Amino acid sequence: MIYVQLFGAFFKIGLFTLGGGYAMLALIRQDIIRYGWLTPAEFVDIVGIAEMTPGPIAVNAATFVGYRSAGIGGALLATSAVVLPSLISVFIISRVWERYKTSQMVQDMFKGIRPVVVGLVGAAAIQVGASTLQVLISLSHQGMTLLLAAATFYGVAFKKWDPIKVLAGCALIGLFIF
Amino acid sequence: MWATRREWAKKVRLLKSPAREKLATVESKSASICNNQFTSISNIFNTEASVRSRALKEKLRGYWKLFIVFFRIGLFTFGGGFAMLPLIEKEVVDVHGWATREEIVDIFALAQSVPGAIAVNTAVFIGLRLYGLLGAIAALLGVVSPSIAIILIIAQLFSQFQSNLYVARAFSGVKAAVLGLIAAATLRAGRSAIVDRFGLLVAASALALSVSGVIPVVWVILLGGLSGILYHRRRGEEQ
Repeated sequence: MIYVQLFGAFFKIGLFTLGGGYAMLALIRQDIIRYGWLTPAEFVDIVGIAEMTPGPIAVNAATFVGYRSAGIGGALLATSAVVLPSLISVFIISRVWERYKTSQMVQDMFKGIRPVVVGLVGAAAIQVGASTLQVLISLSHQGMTLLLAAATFYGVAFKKWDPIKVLAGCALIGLFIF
Repeated sequence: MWATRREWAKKVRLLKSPAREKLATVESKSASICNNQFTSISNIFNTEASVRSRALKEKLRGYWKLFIVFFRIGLFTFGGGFAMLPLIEKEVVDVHGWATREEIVDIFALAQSVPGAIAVNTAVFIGLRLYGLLGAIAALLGVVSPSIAIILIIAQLFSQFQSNLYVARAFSGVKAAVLGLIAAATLRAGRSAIVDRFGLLVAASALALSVSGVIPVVWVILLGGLSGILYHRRRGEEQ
């Protein structure tokens, strides 16, 4: 029964995760607390963990909740459930896209959508920047963070630095300066 | 063709051979024909099998490559999908040539407008494009395996991990880099996506709408598409 609940809940979460994971944190919280899989305090922890570890937040939450409530099997089941909507919806939309991408109307549509993506990514930069700086209390830490962020921006945007090496390097620098 | 050639050879040899040796020759002949037949059939099978196995090997190598590339991407996707857009762009466009620079912006747009995390959707999209459904599954497994493995480890030693000072310090550095990466993603997407004043206006409106959070992101994308169609149709009529 727990497997059916896990699958159903995380399939729904995957289905309603639109445009970045943070939007569906409320949805995850609601189901987790309704089924009693985690306490509210544990939920705050899982959000922290999901932020600290690589991977989409929905996937991290699914693995963690599945493992806590039904072991490894539960973890794999909940994770499969949360990515299944991706597989299905991308399958459909990519077929449509490959077929119609040369049509004039679809091209016009993308001339409008491409700038929207730029705006959305820019908005994410502002939101992530605000929440990152907010939790830092001391001014020097905020300055260090901005400095590292600026160096990353310059290197990746203009100098073709490898993003992976930059991330690893910043983690290493973080060990010493924070 | 081998049959006629062998029959011809048989005739030649029969003519050449003295009458008393005829029987023996025919016997050895038939034996060798049987042999030849057997080897040539097995040859046919061999070549077909080797072609098939080579194609299979090629495909398996393709799946493996997809898996590895998206495993790397999944391993370094911190702070929600946007930070790894430069990484995906670099791997998919610059290193492997699986999509052009324009296509990748469209793929990012589509990945955001259908259900699912953006990293997962992009992986499925690229995998599907290259090798069909199995490719999509290979890329999907690649992008989620690091999360699953790491979360399973952390679930075991949760409390130690969270209160570890070194983890917290390293993570502060990672957070700073994530901020820079998202800013870089904005600039890089802007370079290829904003080509005129209309684009700049749409991008600025989308940014304002998204930051204020007045309407869901899907609606922002749909509005952008609609304005693109209306604007360009009108401009097409004017020309």
